[in-house]
Amino acid sequence: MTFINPAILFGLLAVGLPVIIHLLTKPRLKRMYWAASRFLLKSVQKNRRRVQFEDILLLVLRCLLVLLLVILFARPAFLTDAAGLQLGGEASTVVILLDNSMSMGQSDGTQTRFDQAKAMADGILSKLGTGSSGALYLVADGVKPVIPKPTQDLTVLRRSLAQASLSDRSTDLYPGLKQAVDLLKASAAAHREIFLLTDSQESAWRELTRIRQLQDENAKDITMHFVIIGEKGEDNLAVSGLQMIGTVAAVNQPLRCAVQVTNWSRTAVEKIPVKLAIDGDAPQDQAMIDKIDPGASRVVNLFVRFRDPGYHSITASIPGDRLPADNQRSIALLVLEQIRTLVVEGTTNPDPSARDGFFLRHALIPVRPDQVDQYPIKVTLGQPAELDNSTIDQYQLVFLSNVAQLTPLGAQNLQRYVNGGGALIIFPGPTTDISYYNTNPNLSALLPAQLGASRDAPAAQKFLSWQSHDYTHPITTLWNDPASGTLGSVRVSKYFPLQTKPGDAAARIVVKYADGEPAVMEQSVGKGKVILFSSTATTAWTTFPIHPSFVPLLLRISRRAVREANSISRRDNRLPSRSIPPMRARSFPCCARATKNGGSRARLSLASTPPCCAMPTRNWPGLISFSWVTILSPRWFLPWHPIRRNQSWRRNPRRTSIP
Amino acid sequence: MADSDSPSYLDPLAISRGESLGILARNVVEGYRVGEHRSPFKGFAIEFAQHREYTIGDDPRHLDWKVLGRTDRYYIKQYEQDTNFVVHLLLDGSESMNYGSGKVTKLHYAKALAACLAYLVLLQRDAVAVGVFDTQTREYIPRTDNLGKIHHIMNRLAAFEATEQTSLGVGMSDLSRIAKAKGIVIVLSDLFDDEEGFERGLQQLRFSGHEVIVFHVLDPEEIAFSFKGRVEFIGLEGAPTLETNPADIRKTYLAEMNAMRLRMRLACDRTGSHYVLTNTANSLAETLSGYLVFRHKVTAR
Repeated sequence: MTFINPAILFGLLAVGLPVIIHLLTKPRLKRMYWAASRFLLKSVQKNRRRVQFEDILLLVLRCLLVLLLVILFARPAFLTDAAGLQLGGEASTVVILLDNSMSMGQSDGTQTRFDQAKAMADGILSKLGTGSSGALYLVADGVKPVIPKPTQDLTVLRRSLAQASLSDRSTDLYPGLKQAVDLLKASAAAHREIFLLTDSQESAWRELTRIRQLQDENAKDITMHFVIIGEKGEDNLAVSGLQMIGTVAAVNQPLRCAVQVTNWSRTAVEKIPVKLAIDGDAPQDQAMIDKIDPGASRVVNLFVRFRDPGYHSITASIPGDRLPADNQRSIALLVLEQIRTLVVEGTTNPDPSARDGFFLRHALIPVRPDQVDQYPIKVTLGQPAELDNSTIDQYQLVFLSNVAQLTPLGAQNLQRYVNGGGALIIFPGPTTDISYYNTNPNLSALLPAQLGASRDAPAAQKFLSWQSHDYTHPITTLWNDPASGTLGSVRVSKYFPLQTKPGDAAARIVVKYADGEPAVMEQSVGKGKVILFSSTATTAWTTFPIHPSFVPLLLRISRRAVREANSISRRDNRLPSRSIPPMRARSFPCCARATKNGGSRARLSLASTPPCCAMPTRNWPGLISFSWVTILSPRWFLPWHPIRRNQSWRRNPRRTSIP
Repeated sequence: MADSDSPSYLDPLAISRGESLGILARNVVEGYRVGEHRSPFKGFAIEFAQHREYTIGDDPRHLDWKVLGRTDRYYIKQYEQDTNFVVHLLLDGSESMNYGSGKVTKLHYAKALAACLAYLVLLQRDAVAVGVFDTQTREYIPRTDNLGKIHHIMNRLAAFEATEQTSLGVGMSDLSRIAKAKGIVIVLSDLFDDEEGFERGLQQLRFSGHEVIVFHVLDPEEIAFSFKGRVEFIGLEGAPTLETNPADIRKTYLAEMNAMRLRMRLACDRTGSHYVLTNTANSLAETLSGYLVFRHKVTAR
């Protein structure tokens, strides 16, 4: 037997309550003189044992009542096994629903739950009477019919059962039950039964109400058996998160990653080594977590360094346990050799320190002059005419600083660049022609807000300040911690009010002025990102370029823009266009292949216009490498997560059952 | 002044009802005054009682000449002679009588009942004697037929305080020795005593020729035992203190109490005494008139 709400079992401590209440509560004692004491004495003597017995009985009953209530609220579920099922010898039609979710891979030391379930299902089949028929479905968060219609050939059914394999998916039992019920409704058999073999994870009962309804509606015709597998073997440690939190991944640059490890066991776990490796090679970094309490998570920061540009994978791992599937976690990322940045200046000035890109250039390369060559960010200063040629595509970042206008071709190129995944950061300035920015169809489509007429700070205040607290945007949340300084000391004497476009929900405010007016806004456009400042990148109108937050804020903005613009998911449909000639056919079989890290392979179909890959299966979580069969090309790693691992891997220490 | 200070044990309603009924001796007792009570000496006084055949030795003056003239038979006319009587009120003054679940204790109730009875008796010019006992006779007011003595009786009753244990047998035995003339002995007690001693006392009184009426005075809680919650009972007359939950033992207690009442009633029946259960929750008038009505019916047979 197990319990659906095991936490309520702590209420068992309340069993002692009647005793404590009895001990603590002193009954109000009435005192009185009494004449007929002799009868009283006799009565007390006669009843003493009975009263004592009744008192003890009452106490026991009260304790039992509390016990029963606690157990009732904990919702006990009785586990059954195949041996306990009473199938009788009559012919029946059964549907076996075998949970093949990832958690069924949990082992008790000798056997996984999935193996146990298969053995039980085999036992059920062996007990079926002559003339019985059966169907087999694998259920996770989807339903896979193995034997979709009841067959009397139980040998085939057994063989299919033996060949059933685990998936890496979460569980949702309702769709499987619904299909099984629909199947049996169509059957004319006298005895119709459904056997659901599951380890009863929390997510499996997400549609419990509908399952109950299904059960109630068909209670007369169809018997449902819920066989709960795996009462023991709950201890599990999982890598529950892996996140890149350093700068943009670049060659020979240390990249900081946060690895989250969660202890789903009932006991604390100590001394957990966590390793971080690239492309399945030897670990580059490792750390030891001293202790994780039950149900708690710990995060460690580890560093990796890439030697080659291109697509790579990072894998965090912990030592193996009884559920191996969640002992490692991987992400794929594109490592850049250089982050090429173009800073377009609106004016020219012989004095380098007076140029529109002076502060930007130095902030983007915050290293000593002798280290500039090793630093991955390369900055090119240019004029608006630079945007007229197609070389703009080679840049990961483009800054516009105090640019008055663009040529029509430049504006078109810039729009194409952003839509294709480029990152654009705009600092207006004294020469900026706001009417051009607001009316040019190419440029206005990129802007997260319209630029209002330049405005001086109120005379009474002399300057405006940025907000000093309550930062909500991911770029600025760093400054919620006072130890990181404050953006509130950024002064602005003149600015272009950012006027939100009506109905534009994509635009977000990065930083506001103290009065609530937007100071910096961002917007995703196509596959790229645009960030718009309301004031200059020089000290003409604002102290921001000389503020301590200038460098970190600019780097965070750049990192976010580049990371999103160059993320694999946004680049994926560029794959065919860059690697093979555009195709006219609707599909091009045998030209591309996906390979799972375990060795499984699948052909990809390539759809045209725009050419893109289509995965034939959704059951391949983890790292998948894509390659061309016909031509040699670098591999492309994709993180394929059809299931939300956080949900799937979460170990619910208790199971549930249909009460 | 003393009379005016005496506690008013006389219940006006009880007295008025009792007065209309009178105290009628159930049995014929001898009296020293002519009153309303039948004398065992059927003689030749006032009221014709019956005829009896003449036997040798009878006074020929009592021959019924009319019968002789009509039937030639010799019949003697017999007459019934009323006589007054003495009522001995024997009040239990033990400590157990101090119990009362309400405002009235059993002792208080018994004192009032005794006072009412004494008044009624004196009112019809019979005599009354009052004795209060516990382990021995503590108070004794010799018999008197003077109605003016009622205040004296009440003062003596009021002054008495119950502090000792009970010995019913001793009290009744003392009375049988003290009371020279036969009369009615009215015992007012809760009878929480040795049952054998009580029966022995009854027998002695009966042997002495008294008619005995036992008013078994009990508090309503002693009869019903309807306490709730946890109660510490402090025993009177040296009984131990008991802490218990009355609800737990109610059934047994009531069985014991009813059994005791039955035994007392049977003891009364065996000795030809009259047993009256008196609940202090009932008004004195109700108790008194109830009993007197019953007695009137009995004596009217």
